[in-house]
Amino acid sequence: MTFYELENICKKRKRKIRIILLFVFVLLMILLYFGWKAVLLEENKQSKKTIKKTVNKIKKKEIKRKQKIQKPQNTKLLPLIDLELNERIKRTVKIKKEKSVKTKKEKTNTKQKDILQSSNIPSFKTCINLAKKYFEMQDYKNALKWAKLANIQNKKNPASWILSAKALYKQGKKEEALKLLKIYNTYYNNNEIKKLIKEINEN
Amino acid sequence: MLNKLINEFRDTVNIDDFFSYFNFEIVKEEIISSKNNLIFLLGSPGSGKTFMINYLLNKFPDKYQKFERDDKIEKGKTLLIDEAQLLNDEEIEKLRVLSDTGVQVLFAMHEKEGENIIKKPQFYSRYYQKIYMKPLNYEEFEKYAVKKFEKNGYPEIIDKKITKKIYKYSKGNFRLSKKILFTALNLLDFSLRNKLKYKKLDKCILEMALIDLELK
Repeated sequence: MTFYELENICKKRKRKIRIILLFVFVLLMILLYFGWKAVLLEENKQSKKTIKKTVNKIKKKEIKRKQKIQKPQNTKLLPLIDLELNERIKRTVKIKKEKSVKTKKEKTNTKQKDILQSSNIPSFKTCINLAKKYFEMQDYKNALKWAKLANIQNKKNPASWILSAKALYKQGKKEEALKLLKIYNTYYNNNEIKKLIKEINEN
Repeated sequence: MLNKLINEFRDTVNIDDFFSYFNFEIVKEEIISSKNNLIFLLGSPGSGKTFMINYLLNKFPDKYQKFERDDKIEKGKTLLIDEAQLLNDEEIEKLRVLSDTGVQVLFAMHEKEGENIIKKPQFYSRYYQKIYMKPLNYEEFEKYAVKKFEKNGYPEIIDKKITKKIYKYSKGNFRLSKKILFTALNLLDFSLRNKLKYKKLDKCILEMALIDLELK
């Protein structure tokens, strides 16, 4: 072979080698790129999981805190009659007992349940209206009585609580009145109740 | 331009072009000190067997005689037979019988053929010695090549990378190394005479030489 023929063959071979090397290099880069992406994706997933866990932990803690703050000893708001305020209330309960002699045989924990089961109590509206009338007449005992009966019918309505508190206050039982209102306030936010608490405190 | 340098690497056996290397010295000593009547000097083609024979004939003419078919064999001299694989069985047998009379005979031949002859019972049962011509190591080859270039005033046209590459392909074989250098220098000479871009033995020139010799 001549010099030039040999030179051409030599150059062709070099070109081939360079192309092969370039191809291998590009392949390696592509593999590295996808490998790096896969690693990043995994890291992201793991980080998301850890974030979720921490967020859930925080939420649980907050819920527990709230529950501690919000939960009174009794989870449900008891009616006024179940709240131990004074002896006079107990007497009124006793009077009601005589009426419901028939139901004594049944196993009941409280006398209030007997009253609740009776159908002789008028509706909430009539009880409240009667309580208001007695309050206006300054008959605070009867006003209290009818307010409690109204409360039996609907313990959530603040009107019965307000009237009872007012009646107690007029009878000179300021602390008991405040106690009633505060108990209601822990369960339900009511502006009237809050106002009344302020007024009673300010006298 | 590089004619003298190119001639240094011609495929000739020139005693004046003697280059001493480790294996050569060992083989020489073994041959000189051998007491066996049958000596087999074995090696691959181009490993230096013929050179060794010519060297011994030149340096010790009283002790050694080259085998020629019709020549008389002188007493007290060791008979040196080159390319002994070319002898026919009858001739080999005659020489074996001669060795039994007390004449020391040295057979220089290719390794494979030599091993086959030794395996024959008439040789195997006799006292014989096998001596192997081994290739150069890299340092020896580099020394040999650079010395040649320096001797002819062209030390700058060869470097270590090129010698390493040549050694890689020749594996220390004398003849093959000379052949590669001979071819490469011819190509370089052409480039220099025609004022082409190649000014020294570089990768390109070497690649072209290897392609021409079908080694690559």
